[in-house]
Amino acid sequence: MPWPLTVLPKFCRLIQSMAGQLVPVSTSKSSALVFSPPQSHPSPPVTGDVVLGDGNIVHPLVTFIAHPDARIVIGEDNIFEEGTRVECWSGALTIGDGNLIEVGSAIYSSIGSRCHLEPKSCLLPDSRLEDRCIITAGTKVGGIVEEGTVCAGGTRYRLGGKSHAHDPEVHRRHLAYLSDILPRFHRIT
Amino acid sequence: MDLPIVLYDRDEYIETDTRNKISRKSIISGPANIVLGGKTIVQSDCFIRGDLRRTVGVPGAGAGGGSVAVALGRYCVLERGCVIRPPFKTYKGVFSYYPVKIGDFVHIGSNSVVEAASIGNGVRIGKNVVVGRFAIIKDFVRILDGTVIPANAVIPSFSLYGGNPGTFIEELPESVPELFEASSKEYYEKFLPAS
Repeated sequence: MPWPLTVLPKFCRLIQSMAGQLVPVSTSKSSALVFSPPQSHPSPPVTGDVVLGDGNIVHPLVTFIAHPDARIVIGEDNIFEEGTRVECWSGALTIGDGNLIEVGSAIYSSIGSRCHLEPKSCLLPDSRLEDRCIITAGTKVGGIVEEGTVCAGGTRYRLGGKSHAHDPEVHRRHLAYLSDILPRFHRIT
Repeated sequence: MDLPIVLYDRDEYIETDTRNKISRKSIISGPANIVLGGKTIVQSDCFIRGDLRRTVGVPGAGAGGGSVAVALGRYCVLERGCVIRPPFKTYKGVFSYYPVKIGDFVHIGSNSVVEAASIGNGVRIGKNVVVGRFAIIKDFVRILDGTVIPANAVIPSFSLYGGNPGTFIEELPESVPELFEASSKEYYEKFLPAS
């Protein structure tokens, strides 16, 4: 182990990445919960330089892949549902706080906070999603998406207009529910 | 209409008492909360989330089935990579996940994501479909590949739905119940171990 345990802050949780580096996840109130897929499943959840903030809930079968020279920084209180893939080839990919990223989404660029990505949505490389956006199911989005936009329609077109902001109170309850229920059924990585 | 024989690796599938065939490569979370009707096939890489429903009594969430999160009927087929998960919402201030009830003879195509509240009998869902939260799909519906059914949608019986967002395309003929039932049973009969 390259990191002497005494150096780490008290409630630190470590995630073993594929390259064998220990990625420290600092925790204050609640650590990020990363649930692992069962033994038979091939890909590990975290590969490369990935920093996960507090309070994130990562369902099983989510992969975070940071290629060499790339960095993924994830904020707090996000929910990543199963089948999600966050991949960064170069540079930095940041994900803000309080996002809900649903089943099977693919994220290849940065996201702001409080966004809602519905199942099988895709954020293409070299784009950016600002705060409080909604990408509806199955939609692929590129370019810079301004705050509060709803993206719909399957391929790259956007509706303007304000989206109902992803309610922080509901999100908080969702997080509490999941952090209560999921550890009973899955291993924490 | 003659379906081809589908051979599977005998070691890959578990056959239960009720003749359900479940792939070992599929991920069933919270199996205690999942009910499979019998003669149902769950192919590899499926992910059935039985773990999301809180088993301790939740006020206002419906007492009926107790702790059943996902209920599938007879002769269902979940093709590779589907995800069945209970939908969630906040009701009277209580956040909860609600049970999913799927009827008999339902085929769900590969890589589909189903978060419906209920699906009726004889429904054919295509590949890469997203069924939104709390959608209600009635009996004998056919949903084309790649469709996105919006949340809270109600899809009437005997309809053909497609597109993103999923819209009504046409009505299915009256022979559909017999046809879908017969083909589901035939699919099960022809899903045989390679030996």
